[in-house]
Amino acid sequence: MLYVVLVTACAVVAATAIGILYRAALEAERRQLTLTARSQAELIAAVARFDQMHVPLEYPGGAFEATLSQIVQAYSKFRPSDAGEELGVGRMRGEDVEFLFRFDETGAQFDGLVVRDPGLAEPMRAALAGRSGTMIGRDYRGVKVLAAFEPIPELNVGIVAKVPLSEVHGPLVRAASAAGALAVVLAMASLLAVKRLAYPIISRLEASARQLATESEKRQAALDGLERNRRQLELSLKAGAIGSWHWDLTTDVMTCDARTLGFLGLPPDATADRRDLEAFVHPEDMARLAVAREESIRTGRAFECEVRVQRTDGEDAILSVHGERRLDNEGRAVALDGVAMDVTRQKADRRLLEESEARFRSIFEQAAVGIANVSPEGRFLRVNERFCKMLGYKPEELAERTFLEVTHAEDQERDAAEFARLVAGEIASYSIEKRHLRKDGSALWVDRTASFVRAADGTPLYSVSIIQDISARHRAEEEVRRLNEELEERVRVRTAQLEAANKELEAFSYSVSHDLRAPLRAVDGFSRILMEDCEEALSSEDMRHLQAIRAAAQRMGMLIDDLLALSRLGRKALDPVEFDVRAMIEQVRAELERETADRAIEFRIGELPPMRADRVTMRQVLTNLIANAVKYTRGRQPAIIEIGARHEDAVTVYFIRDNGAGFDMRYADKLFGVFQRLHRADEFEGTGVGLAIVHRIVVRHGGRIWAESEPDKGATFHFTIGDCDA
Amino acid sequence: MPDDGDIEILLVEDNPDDVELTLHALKRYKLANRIDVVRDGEEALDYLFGRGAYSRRDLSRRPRVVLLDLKLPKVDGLEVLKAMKADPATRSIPVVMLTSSREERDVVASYKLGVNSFIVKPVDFEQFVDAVRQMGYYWLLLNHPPVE
Repeated sequence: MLYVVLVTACAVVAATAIGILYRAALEAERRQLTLTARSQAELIAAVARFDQMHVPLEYPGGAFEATLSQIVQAYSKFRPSDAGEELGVGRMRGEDVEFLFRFDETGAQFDGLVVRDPGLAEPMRAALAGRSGTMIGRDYRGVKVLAAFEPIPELNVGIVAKVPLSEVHGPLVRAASAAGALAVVLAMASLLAVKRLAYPIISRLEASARQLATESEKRQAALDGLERNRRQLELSLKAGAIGSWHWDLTTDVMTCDARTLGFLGLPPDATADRRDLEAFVHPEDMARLAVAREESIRTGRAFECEVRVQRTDGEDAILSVHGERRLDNEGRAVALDGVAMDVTRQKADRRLLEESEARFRSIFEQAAVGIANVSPEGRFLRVNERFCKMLGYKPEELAERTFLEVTHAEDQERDAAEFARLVAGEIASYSIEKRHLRKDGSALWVDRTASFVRAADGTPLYSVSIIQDISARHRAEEEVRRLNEELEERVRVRTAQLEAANKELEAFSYSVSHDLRAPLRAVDGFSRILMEDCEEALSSEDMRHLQAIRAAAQRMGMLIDDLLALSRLGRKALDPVEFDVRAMIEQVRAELERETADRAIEFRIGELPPMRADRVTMRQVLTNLIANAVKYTRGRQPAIIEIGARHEDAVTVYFIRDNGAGFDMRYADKLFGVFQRLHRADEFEGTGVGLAIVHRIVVRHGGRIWAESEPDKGATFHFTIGDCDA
Repeated sequence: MPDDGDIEILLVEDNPDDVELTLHALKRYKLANRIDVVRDGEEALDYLFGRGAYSRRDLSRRPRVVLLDLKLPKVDGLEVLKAMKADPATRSIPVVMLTSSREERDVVASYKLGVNSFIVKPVDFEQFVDAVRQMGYYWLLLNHPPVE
């Protein structure tokens, strides 16, 4: 009986002790896990909120991926934690749970583990159902665990911190077994040693001491875990430029960290009470902040509010504030904890970005040219209205096509090659004239200029093409080409006609020189025979008549010669060379020796730059002009012939001036005409062809000739030589 | 007295005025005792090669010089010249071309057919002497001094 009583008593005492210890250990573990889960959840949420606001639009995968990658990066650097403790972040995929990563003492795993069995991963399911708390349940492996779970609504994910239950109660089970065994032994021994009453008391004291030691160790581990978490939190706040604050509702004292003070322009060691701090907030935003705060205190929901503040330096800033209440054991709100971020720059950047986007969108849509964004694979990503109109497609029809599919077959290869080089980054842009295929199958000539947009890391994103309708220009060019061809054909025909005419003229000239001369020879020849053979029989009057006949015939011969010379000039090819004009003038003077020998002629020859012209014909010009000067100064004492050159508007003007008979400027227009004479033959001989020849030669050289004169005051002939190489 | 049968000059000229003026000029100075005249290119060829109307002519009696007008009916002067220069029997007979202008002379010279000299019509004494002098045929003048 006593034995039963003793065993029972021992067992009850042991069980009770173990039960108390177990609950204590469980509670400690539960607190630590809750702390871990909450702090990590809050941290991740804070990062997520920050990223949602500030991650650039083009970050691949968006803010969610950015957050995830940051967290993953952060965790991969840390080695946790208590043996068996594991942290996991997961999300729902349909009915299944997908772990984004798990994190235990061996490190972090990002295996994307998917748990289908609804009986498994119970804590994570609870977190993903939006609940927060602790439980004992089955984890994804089916192991019974003590777990704290928290939802992170910002990311639609949940976080679970857990330890296998075996880790919690393992030592206690062992202790319980030992205690049970001890109870049996004690009961047996007690029969033999009832008198030694102290023994069981000593045993109990020893057991208590062991249990106390175990509990103390666990507390220390929990404290270490807390310190680690605090440091992780601090690092994260620092990395995210996040300030933190605490408002004790019971004392109404608000404390801010150095970063939060810095957002307001306050020094890190500044002291400011709640009212001081609230004075920084823009009056219009204060009410909103207060309402959000009060509601959060009342409902327990985290509040988030963006407020404008005026910094101590007078600058305006925008702070994003969020916070959450803290409850005491009785469930009363005793404090608000929160973070703050300076989002002034991000806000401004975002506004600028939005403005620029709006501007761009309006340009894109209203442009008078076609604009298309094309993927690196050639698909239309975005097209504007003008481009659709050009091609006759609807935007959604183009979205199903590549740009090559609406390009004329003959232009595809060229365009594709250039586009490939553009995507490869070999060229920054290219322009191409090509034909697009309209929906109705017709071709449209366009000028397309394409450039390429890349992500910061060089990943090709899309090309921007500006497409201009150049069909009108193409039609005009086609017309010009056709007209040119027509013109060339006409020129060819006309040239052939001219060549034929020239040949005819040559034949005519030949005929004139040969046949027209024959009768003249006869007239002159027989007159001469008469004069020679019948000199004695003829009177002096007869002889004078015969002489007149001969003179007339000879004069006609000269006319024919001059006329032929003139007609030959039109056909003769010019051979321009540079030569010394003065030397040529000296030669001409020597040739005119016979006419000038018995005359008093003063030649005044000035500076003469070298001339580039056809030597043979230019010599004819100088000969005719100088011979004219010699002829028309006949009777002058002395005759003065001045030859020189001057520069006028970058052109060399040559001139020949005499003090001879001159002419009346009223007849200047006849001066260079064929057979036009301004003097009677009995005053000055001549055929009226010399100046016509001069005129023609000068004009053929691209030059100009003109004269100034007054009767009896001499004459000046001016001429220029153009560029005769053309 | 020169041999009656010896032809001194063959004048090839179609224009009768020019023929008369030429003969007048040459005979007045007693330059040639015997001048044969033919009136076109074909006749000139017949004469030179003993064909047609001249088939019975003694070809060994060659003219000492041919005055050849450039422009002739039927066969023109250039063709006559070509035929003469192509035949060894006539190649060495000196030819003086008669032209109506210096331009024609340039045309003929461009054919490089071995013309010995040129005279621009009308043929007068001075030009003829010049031409003969150019050819170096003084004997034509010296062997036959003008006969009073």
